[in-house]
Amino acid sequence: MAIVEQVSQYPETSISEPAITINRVSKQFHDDEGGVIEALRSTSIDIKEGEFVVVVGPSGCGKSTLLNMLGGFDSPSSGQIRVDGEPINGPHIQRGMVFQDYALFPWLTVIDNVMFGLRKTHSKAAAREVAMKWLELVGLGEFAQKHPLHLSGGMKQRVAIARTFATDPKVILMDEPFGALDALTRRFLQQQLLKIWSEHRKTVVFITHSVQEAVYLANRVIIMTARPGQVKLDAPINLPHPRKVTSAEFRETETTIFEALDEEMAKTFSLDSADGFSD
Amino acid sequence: MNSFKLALASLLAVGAGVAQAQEVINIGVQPATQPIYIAKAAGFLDEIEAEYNVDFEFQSFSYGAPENQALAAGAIQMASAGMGPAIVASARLPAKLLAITILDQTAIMVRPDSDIATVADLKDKTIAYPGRGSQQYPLLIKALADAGLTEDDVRLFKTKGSEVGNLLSTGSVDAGVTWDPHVSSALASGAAKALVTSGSILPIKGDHYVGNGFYARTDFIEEYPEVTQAVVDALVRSAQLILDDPETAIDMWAAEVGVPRDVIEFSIKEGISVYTTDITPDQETIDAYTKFLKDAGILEAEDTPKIDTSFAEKASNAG
Amino acid sequence: MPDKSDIPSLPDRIGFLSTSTVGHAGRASKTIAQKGGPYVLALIMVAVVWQVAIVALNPPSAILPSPSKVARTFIEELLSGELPINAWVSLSRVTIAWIISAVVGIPLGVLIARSRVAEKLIDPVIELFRPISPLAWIPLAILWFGIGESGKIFIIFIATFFPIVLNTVDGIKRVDPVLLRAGQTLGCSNGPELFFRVMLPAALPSILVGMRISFGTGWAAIIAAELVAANSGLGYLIADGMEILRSDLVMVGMIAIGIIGVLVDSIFKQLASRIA
Repeated sequence: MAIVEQVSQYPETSISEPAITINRVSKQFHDDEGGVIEALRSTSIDIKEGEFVVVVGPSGCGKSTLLNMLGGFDSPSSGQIRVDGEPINGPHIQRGMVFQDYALFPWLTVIDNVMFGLRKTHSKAAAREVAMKWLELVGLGEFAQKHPLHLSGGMKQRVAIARTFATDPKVILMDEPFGALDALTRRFLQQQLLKIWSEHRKTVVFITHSVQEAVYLANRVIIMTARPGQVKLDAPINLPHPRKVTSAEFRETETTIFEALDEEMAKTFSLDSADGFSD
Repeated sequence: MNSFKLALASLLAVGAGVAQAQEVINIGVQPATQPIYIAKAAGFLDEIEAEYNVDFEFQSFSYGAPENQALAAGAIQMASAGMGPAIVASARLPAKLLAITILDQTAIMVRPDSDIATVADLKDKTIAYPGRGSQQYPLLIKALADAGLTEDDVRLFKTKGSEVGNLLSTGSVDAGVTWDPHVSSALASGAAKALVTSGSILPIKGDHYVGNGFYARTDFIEEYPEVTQAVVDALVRSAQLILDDPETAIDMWAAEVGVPRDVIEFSIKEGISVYTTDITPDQETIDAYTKFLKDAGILEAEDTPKIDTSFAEKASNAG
Repeated sequence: MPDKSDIPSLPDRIGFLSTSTVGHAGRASKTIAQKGGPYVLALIMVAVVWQVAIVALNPPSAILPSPSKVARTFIEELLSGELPINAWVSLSRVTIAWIISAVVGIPLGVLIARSRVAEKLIDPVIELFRPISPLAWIPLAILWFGIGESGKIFIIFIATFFPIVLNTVDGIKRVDPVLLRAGQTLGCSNGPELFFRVMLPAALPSILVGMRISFGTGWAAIIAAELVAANSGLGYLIADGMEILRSDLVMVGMIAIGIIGVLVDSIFKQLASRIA
């Protein structure tokens, strides 16, 4: 049904303004010996509201750097990032983030964790209500009074997702959120995430190493080159949900992406990969 | 040649053996004008050492409690200390009181400009004192009681006997009670004036309060009765010297203990410390003192100080 | 848009760690008898050895009083109020000094942990003073503060200050940076907000450990502090008892100090497990 288009630039056919514009962003780091690492080179991406963008690439391709800049934890060496037309000025609740190591606050209960971002804008009772709703949405309503240390990795990540979604941000940034989980839990959480996203259409920028995960989740996949990172491939994925991993179209899409990646992986391994920098 | 070497070796061995047979006797002392220092400076102790083949060593303590601990542990065999620690040791350790070597020795002091004129004025005031185990404490209690006050009517602060004068002069406390030479030191320099001296509060040996005592471990007395007698004799002789020739005694104390001459002069002239050749710890005196200590809660009801008056009596008769 | 029913639902308990809540609660409710048992046993053993030594050596009461004598004196002092009053006095001295240490030390620790400049300036000073035992400060304490309460509290302050500062520094420095990032993406928009809502709670377990240790070192120093012209307190009781050769009083004082030390420490541990 769906053909993956191999284009280097996503066509500007939409009516609304892009939610996120990444305009010729470059990023350099200085390493300990005084050398320069070029993590990103002149990357430009426009992301529309409600898109589920997955970024894949080899190690060192700059995807985490990009996400950190979107999160406001770092700024471009040159170029500009705008969200809703405004330049980024540091982290903000409108750009929520889900981390690979969950980052739940261990001194708070599960429900207090989910309420955390709501305390400034809601009364305690209202915050609790919203938080419970989200906890139940991820299927963890019964664990509201537990502390994070009693939860498994998969459950913690569901709480983290609930916590971020509860604050109703415009953009949700996800940094390899399922990377630490086993394959079965991963699958389950991917399904949960899609379920939530389908009801609460947020703009999602999702980073992963897993091609299968990218094809399963994304309605737009961006493949980065090896360092210095640039956009190699930027294509929509129009497969209908729920996607079947075994279907022919799924396989085809994966193959296309794998081939593009293999090219870049080869470059990575030919470089001196002992520079200590991940992307 | 062989036999010569043999003779030399055996001579050395015997010599070493003889040297080892010399017994070391440790005497606890305090940096005060105690007669035992006179006994040392005047050579009386040397005579005893020669006659009985012993070796006296002085161990100095800043106050009675650690001295008694040393006695209990056997680190010292004889001790010269305030009557408070002396009685407590005689009651609660295997030790016996042999002599009362100094009389009085205590005064309650206030600052020269103080408006405290009588003991009754001490009500609600702060008083520095050397602790409940000192001979000053029962005296203070008696003085307060005579003025109609109890311990609860004043605020007592325990400190070292040597610190009392400092605390008084810096204004940290309103009054202080301590022993000589700290009393004389404060009085002689004009840093304090005597509110009342011990003889007027609690005369239990004649007209005087008991100041300093000499005591020894029971096992030592039993093992070395002649040495014990000789030491007590020396104490009587020392008292005689102090009474006959105070200037020489002052020189000796200044050299041995390091207390300034003028302080010792003041002490003797003003009768802060009183010396006598009658050093017998007679039962009546001791009973009176014991009763006060029991009333003040220092001694328990069943405590009975062990005294041996025989040595002192013999020494007085001989002298 | 796909709707809910298309997504296969799976049981929520995937990967649930603890097997049952009963097991978890059971662990926390070990009875007092179970916890205290070993201590009581140890006490009994000590008393037995002690009594045997008394019978075998027959020492004078001033050197080694019998367990029964010590027990009698303990009850006497307890009933007469001497022991509770002196214990309370000592305890309040340590508590006041400890609170002052916390009020001064925790903010200082935070400052050192967060400011390189402050660390470079203040840390060497702390390291210079830290090895100096509180006891060494006693003469100066008398000179500066006289014989009142402040001198003793000063000594205890010295004893309690350093563990609090050092543990606070450690706690703040070791806050996981990803927690701070999470806080920022959840609306903590400025320094103070992030500090009070994320950094401080994250560092709290360390800070509490510092406070617990610090109370212990302060309590251990109380004897030394009460040699500074005290007229009350457990340290005074012990020193006074020794002067009149009442070793039973000395031991009563020591036992009281030991008991209170253990009690306070276990209260701290309880608190810590509630919070952390």
